[in-house]
Amino acid sequence: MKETTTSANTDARTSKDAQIAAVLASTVVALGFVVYWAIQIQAVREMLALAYG
Amino acid sequence: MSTGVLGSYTRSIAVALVIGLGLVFAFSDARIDTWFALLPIFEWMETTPFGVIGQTWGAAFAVVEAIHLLAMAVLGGSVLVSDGRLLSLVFTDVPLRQVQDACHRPFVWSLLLIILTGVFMACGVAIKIYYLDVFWYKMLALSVGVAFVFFVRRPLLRHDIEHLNPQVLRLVAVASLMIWFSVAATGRWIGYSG
Repeated sequence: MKETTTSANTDARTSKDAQIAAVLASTVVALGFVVYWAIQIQAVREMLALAYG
Repeated sequence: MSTGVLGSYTRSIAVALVIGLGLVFAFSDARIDTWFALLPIFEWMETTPFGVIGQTWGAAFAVVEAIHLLAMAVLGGSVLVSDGRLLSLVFTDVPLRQVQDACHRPFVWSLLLIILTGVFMACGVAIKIYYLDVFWYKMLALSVGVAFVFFVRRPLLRHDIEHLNPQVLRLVAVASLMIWFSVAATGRWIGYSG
């Protein structure tokens, strides 16, 4: 009984750890993605403006 | 006591450390120094048999590139299906665990094939890609993608999926799609650069 409870607690802790890690990594990836592609799209817009006014 | 609390969050702490070190590397002189230090390796790559074949035998390069693109298609398909299922967009009548497990094997094999054929192709045009910013962005996206899958996504999905926060699963799926979209887009971009 006690062993089952301990195992469940450990799994809950590792699950929470995995979820925090996932949120952290996913947020940084999403921010990096938005910044990188926004810069690229802006560069293309500026080039088009230079070429066609 | 504090060690025990920290010990419960080893994965989160490791992810935070890797992000921190990555940012320090990106915004310091170490990035430029590493880039200069890698030039001899790229020069050597062009002199290897792979490099010579890639430069002198266009048909071989084209065949390897075709395999590379087919592997990309398989990888893209497995990513779309597994992340689409996490977002509840596709295969909603199939258990989530079953879809994730079925997609992982083709993902791993296609990733290996992509890396092997990618190394061959890189040898043929090593000096050209060395000076392309987009090549380094692709390598960054690929490294982040591999690390994300094996150190964040898979460990998360090993837990009882029914007890995981659905918002976290959606966030992971969106981030995964963003990474692999960037890998594919920057990869094609290399072909139109230089």
